[in-house]
Amino acid sequence: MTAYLAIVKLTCRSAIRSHIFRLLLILLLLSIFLLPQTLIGDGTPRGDVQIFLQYCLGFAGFILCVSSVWLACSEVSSDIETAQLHMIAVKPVRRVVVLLGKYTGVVLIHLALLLIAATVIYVFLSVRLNSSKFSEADRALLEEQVLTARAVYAPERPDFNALAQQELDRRIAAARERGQSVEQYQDDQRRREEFYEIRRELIATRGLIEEGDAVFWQYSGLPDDLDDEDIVFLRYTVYVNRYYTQDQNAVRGQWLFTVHYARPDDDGGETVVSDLAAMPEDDVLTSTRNEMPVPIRTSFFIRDGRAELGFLNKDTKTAELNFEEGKGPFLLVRETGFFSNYCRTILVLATGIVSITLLAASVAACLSLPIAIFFTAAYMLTGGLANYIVTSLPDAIDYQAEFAGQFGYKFGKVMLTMIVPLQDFFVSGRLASGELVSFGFIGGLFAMDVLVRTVPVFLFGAWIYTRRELALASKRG
Amino acid sequence: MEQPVREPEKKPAAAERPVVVSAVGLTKVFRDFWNRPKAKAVNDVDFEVREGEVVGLLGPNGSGKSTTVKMLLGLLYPTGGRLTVFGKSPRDVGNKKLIGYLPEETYLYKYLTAFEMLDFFASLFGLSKEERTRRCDQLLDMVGLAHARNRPVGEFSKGMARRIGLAQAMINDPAFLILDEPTSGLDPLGCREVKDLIKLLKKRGKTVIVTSHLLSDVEEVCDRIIVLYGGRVRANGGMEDLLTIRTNDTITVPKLPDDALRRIREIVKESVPDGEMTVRHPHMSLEDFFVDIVNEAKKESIETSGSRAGGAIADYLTGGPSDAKSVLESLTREEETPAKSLTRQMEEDAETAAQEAAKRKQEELFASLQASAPAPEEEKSEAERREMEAKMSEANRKLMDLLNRTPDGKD
Repeated sequence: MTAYLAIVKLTCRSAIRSHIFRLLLILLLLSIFLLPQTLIGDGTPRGDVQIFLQYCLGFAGFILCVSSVWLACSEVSSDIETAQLHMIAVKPVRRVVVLLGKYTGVVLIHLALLLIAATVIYVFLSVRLNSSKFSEADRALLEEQVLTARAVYAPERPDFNALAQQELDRRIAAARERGQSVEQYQDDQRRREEFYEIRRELIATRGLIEEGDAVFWQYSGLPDDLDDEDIVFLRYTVYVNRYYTQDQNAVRGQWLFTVHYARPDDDGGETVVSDLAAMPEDDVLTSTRNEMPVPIRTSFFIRDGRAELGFLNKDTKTAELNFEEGKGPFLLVRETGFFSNYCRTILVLATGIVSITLLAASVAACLSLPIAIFFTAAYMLTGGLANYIVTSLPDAIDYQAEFAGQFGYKFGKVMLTMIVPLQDFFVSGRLASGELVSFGFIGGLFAMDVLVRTVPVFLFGAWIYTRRELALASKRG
Repeated sequence: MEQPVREPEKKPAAAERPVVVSAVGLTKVFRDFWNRPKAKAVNDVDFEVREGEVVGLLGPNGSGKSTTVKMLLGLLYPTGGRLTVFGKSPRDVGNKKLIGYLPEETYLYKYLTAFEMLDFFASLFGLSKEERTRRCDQLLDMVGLAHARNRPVGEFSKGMARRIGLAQAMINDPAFLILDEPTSGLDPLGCREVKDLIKLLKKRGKTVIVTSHLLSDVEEVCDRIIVLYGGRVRANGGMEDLLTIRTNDTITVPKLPDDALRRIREIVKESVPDGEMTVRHPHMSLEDFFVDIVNEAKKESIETSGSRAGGAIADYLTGGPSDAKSVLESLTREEETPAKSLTRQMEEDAETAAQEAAKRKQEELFASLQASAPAPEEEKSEAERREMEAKMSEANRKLMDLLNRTPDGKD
């Protein structure tokens, strides 16, 4: 244990006294002291605070990740190359203890820095909030939408496969009724192509609303212990027509809230009754994220953890409005306070540092310093790319995408089973949006990104480290 | 008069001492990226090092001595053969508690101060904080770096770095010490201290392997040398065995009168007519001369920067509390146990008696030599000449016997 602690201490000293680390430290200080002074949001108090939180924490986290990769690679790999490890390896210390000591040292120093950075950013935010002369309305908006932690509920996703199959069956039946040939549907390949075409069309038109028409979304799993004091927020983005555009327009629409419940009837049985509450018709800004509190009593709106809402298109100028599938509308329910959420965000960053350092240390245990840094950076970039491919082509596997799309999607899926996507650990955007960073999410990250994906890599690195001929890798002596 | 009796090559018990290092058919082949053999650095090497021996590992660059040392330390793995240290694999972690290593270049953590560095290495042996502090302070004092205790080792000169390297190699009071070029980069004073330290370690029964290009250093401290060339052992044996020129004799005597010298010349010419005799004054080594000068300067309190002459030997290395004696003075002390003390006393008594006897015999011999110095040829008869020749032959034989005898009187 004394030896292990000595190596941890040595690693911390090495970090503190190294020039590159000091440079990164300066960058970190800049990110937490100067960046807040230079950032300007969208002019609203909410925007300012959101930008402040997102960029300061994001930049500090990024610097710490880069620093941990560099320091872990440097501590493990350059020690072998400069033969300094010879002096340790000939002492009665197991090499795995050396590797663990170095890893622990790097992690500890970065966690300490993360803690300092997080504290400074929080203090800065508090000072900024207290010293600013916000109106009561702005302050309330901040409290409700930013300085909070709300669980996000997405609408239930229809079973597009079943719907597509129904539609296909209907088309075949209709063709038969009309006496048309159904030969095209008897060929498996063509039938599958038709199926996926219908499915794609269904997804694309799921949130498409023509003038005078309405679309409804169902929600489940909502907390059923809410009272009327609890405010539920609605977040949505609506586009004009089915093509995405950044052009913002004001369109007319109306939000509808329905509730279905059973009411005893005269016969002693139950009748399901639907009630509808409509918000006043209003202008809605397109191509931007909108958020508003639901002005309906929560006890009315949410029954048994379920809710349903709809949007009625009342705009006469545009052909149709589009709520893109997978992008809401979302319901947000407050779970806890901002400080708790802030700490959870820091915990996610800490998990990232633990995971990335494990990875970097294990790679450096096998490779030379520049190759180890390159490999770790490439690993993380591949993780990011894989994540992007998979999230941007959610249904690529289901329909007849081109070969490149299919390959990219499958490649991304395979990569994601092994590689840690760096962006998993950057949740300052969620914090800034007042979204809850749940313990379930953090536990999942730890289980998947640390235990499942990184620890096996570390064990492999440690195995190589304990077996390799150190003197062969040395560039001196 | 100088003691002319030769030191014994090896204590009789050497062969019975436990084996510390055993290499049988030791081979190391370096391979390229494709696993093709690139170089055979060590080729079927056999050697043993026993407890208490100081062995010099010699060879030109590329002869395989560094590779051998690295295999001994578990930094490289043998391709073939068997190598054990203390009867176990060199990679055995427990064994490393007994080993001290001074690499050819001292690979230091430059951001650490001298004390921090020693403290770190002491921690690797699991020593308590108090013990670490005590040893670090004593070692710093011993290697003459007490004044640089809080200086980063990155600022050290090469000599200072060697000294701190030497200190870390002895932080655990190792039973087996591997010193790779221990005097490289040191000034003559430092060289002397290192050599004296090796002698001290030998007295304490430590096993030492020394590699050095400075052959005079090796010659001075080693009992035995192993010469490597091309990865093979070319010579392996005791210093005296390998270096003694059996065909020549050297006699050291006080300054002789010219007449006696002339007569000795004549005797030698008579005994070995074709031989060549050289008479010259012995001279001290440059190192001794330099050390004397520095010691004189120290007496005059002339200050110098950098490392200073070593102080007292760390008491845990001498086996008892440190006194104020210098390294050189401390060398006479040995690790004492009652049994050892008795044995040592007996050995010393026997040695003194043998030396005195030898001294007496030598004086008698030279007296007889001088007394029987031949008269001018023309004054002697043939019979006298023959008698003289017989006496000279007898004297020569006695002298040879005496010189080949060990201090305790054994052959």
